Amino acid sequence: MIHSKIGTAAALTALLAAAHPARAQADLQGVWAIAKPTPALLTNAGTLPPLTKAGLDIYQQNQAALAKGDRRSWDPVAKCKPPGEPRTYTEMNWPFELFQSKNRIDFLFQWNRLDRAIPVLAKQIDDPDEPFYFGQSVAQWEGKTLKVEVENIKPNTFLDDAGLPHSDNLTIVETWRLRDPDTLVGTFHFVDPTIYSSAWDATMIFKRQPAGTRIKEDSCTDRTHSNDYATIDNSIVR
Amino acid sequence: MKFERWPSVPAALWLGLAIAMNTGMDAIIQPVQAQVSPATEADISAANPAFQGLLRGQRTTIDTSRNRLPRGGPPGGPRGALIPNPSHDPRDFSGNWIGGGGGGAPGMKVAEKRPGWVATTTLDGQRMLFVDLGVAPSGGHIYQNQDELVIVRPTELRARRIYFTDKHTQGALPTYNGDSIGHWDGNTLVVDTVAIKGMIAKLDNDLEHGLHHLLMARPSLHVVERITKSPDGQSLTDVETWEDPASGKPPVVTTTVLHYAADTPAYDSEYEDGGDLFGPGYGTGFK
Repeated sequence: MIHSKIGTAAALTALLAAAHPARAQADLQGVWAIAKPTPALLTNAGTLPPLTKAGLDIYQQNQAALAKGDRRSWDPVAKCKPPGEPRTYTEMNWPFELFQSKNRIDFLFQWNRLDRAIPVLAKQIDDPDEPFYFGQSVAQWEGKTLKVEVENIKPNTFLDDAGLPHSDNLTIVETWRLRDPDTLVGTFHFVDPTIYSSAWDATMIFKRQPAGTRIKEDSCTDRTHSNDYATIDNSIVR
Repeated sequence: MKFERWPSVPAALWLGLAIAMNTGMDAIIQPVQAQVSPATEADISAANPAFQGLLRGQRTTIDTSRNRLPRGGPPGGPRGALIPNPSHDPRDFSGNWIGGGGGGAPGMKVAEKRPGWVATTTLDGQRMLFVDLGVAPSGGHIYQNQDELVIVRPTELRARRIYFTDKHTQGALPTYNGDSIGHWDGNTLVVDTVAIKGMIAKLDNDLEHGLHHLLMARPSLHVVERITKSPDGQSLTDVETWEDPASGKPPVVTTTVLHYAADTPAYDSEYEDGGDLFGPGYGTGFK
């Protein structure tokens, strides 16, 4: 009997240790924005990512459309769809607020009120068949670095504003860590054999926003198509 | 979804576990300003070898096949088995909460019985966002720190912020969530919201003529909520008073009860595409 209790206590201690990584985690919370405009995502070496022929064809089509001022024909963002992963981070003047708890991380973007919710070491959803704008992510802490694996990202999204494509084979391994209290570093390791001839890496730097910075409510549809909407002054039916 | 317990574990040990975990939760719910130092050499040495280069600022590659994280949850265990019980601190609302029904904005009955409320008509293809106040019957994940309480939910207005301050934002423009400020009255969070816009409820669809009849917020709409946690920490009760002085009618009081949920799937809002059926942003209205 006593052995049973000792065993139970030992099991609980182990459970506590496993379930209590909080003290080893970094506190990434706060309001952040990317440090410099990133309209086109480049590799860490400063080069265009290694596109395959299929990838280059799509990219050049998008570039040609952009040169004509045409974004709506190919870019879901022009229709207020979520920019996807990791493009949402690249928008200047659109801060995001990061919250974390023991079992969950949330990136709350100002842009159209988007939320990227990441479970920490837990299954996210039972049916993985449907792709998502931010993909399906799962995270764990490696010391004070948050590691996030992402897959199942909607293939109609793009990696940056310039139209860098990806396929449904894309996986991203991200790391998030503090370089200093006011600097958040995100690294992105892209693997997509359909669109890229080899894996490639990119890094984004985010700066902590001044104390008191609030994330404002943004409705993309109101902002870009305000004339499409009924207002409170419309006809009153009674 | 209910939280499953292990009945063979003595209650005292569970209590100890809960206290320890809540202490850990407290540690992680630090003020936003709290910070840590950059990784030290000891941190780097202790890290997964795949990340040591990254931590030193070097470019590296990660073999995703070798480093895959488990996606199945705790092997053999119930989903969310490692997620702690809710805090017993009556002022700590953090965690996952799911709706128990009831509450929310005044709906069709209000519009029918209180003609002073504003109703409007919009054409099919137009899109209006709902006012999304209250803790919301659909529930959500609550984060809380000294500055704000944030309700994150998998619906269109994904995050609602309640700032712990005593003054509304001066000149706040109307938003779908409004301008919400909160203070504690004992252990009850009192939330005052003004500057609200949007659709309070969808009253009726006239599909033949492509019309929607909507109950709308007016600039004079004022909502006061009193949110209280139950003594066992397992539920939140939000009593919402919806008042529109311009209507000349008495306030409407609704009540929402949320229950603590050990685990709630976190994923993109499907409204982004589900709305394709309904209007702009999502189909015909944007072409």
